Amino acid sequence: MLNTAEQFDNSGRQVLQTRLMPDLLEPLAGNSPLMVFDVGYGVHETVEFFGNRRCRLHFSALHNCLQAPPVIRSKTPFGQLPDADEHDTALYLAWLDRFRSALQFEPGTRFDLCLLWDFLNYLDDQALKAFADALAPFTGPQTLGHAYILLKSDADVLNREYGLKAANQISVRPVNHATPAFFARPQARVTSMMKGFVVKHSVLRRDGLLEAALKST
Amino acid sequence: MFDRNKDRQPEKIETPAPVVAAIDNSSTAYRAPAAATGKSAILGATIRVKGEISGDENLLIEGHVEGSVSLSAHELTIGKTGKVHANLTARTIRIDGEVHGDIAGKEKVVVSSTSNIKGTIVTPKMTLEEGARFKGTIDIDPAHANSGTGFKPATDKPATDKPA
Repeated sequence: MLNTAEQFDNSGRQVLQTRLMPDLLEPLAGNSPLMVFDVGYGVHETVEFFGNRRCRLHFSALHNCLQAPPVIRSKTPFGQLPDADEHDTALYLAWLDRFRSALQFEPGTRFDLCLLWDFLNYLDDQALKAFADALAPFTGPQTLGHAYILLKSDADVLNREYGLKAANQISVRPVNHATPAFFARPQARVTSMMKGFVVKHSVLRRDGLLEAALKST
Repeated sequence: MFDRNKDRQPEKIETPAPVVAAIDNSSTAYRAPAAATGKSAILGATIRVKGEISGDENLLIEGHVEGSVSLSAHELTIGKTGKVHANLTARTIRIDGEVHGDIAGKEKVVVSSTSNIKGTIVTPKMTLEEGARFKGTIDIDPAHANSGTGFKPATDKPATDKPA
């Protein structure tokens, strides 16, 4: 289904309409404190939105982890074909180490809602698997998530910062730094690497992003 | 009676510049506590403090502080030039500068766009001003707003460098 409604608020920010977020928030209405994980920075709208209820908001600014991605040096002797599996494993472990360092929460922390925004699109396959594994200890059977999945590499929807303005409105700001590498993938490929999550509902937006409501498996 | 001193001006008491000076720029040697005047005491931009700061008046920190700051019933402001590696406790806290440490605002915490914070914020009411970006954890419990009961500061330990 195509979602075409887009607006700008008084501050000139783009506001994306979302029909999936209300469905994610509704079953969490009684959770106290509501445990929220946001991959990005905390912004005005998100804090304002959750600020009238008991909650714990974790803003991890994980995009900082994407600067200078890990480089794996091949141990294969010169003249021989490199072992791709070995390289992938080493890359996965390097990303896992990086994400575990960034995701250090109190023992016993279980998030009710994970706001992943467009972060998954900046992770190659190994990084995506590592991110999901690093997050897994902090999710439970009731954990829900929200993500925008990039299906086409030519979509002009990168390098943005997201906030939750209202249950059905997501605000978007441009970010003033170089766009990191990005990876367009079909939904099935993303979820196959996101251990612990499946897509509950998804909506194809006109801008080329697939908005996905995730739930814990 | 004859008074030899009747034409003399009263002596002014010269005091060294206080580390914490009231905003009021009057020239009187004695300054009432800032709380009595409703103004804030200032810790100036060139001042460095290592240890515990506590008090019964509002405080604006523009300098460097390492340790802890506790103004349980008053307002604490970390100014734009303020650099604080400390746990902060106050009734209301406004942050325009840099803070590495846990922040406990009994009524409210306001974070401005010029701030740079690493730590956990615990408060009943939180405002992240337009343009501000925050990395870390925010604990919000509106039920404790204005009551002061059941409020639990993040920690009483001195601040240490740690990942947000």
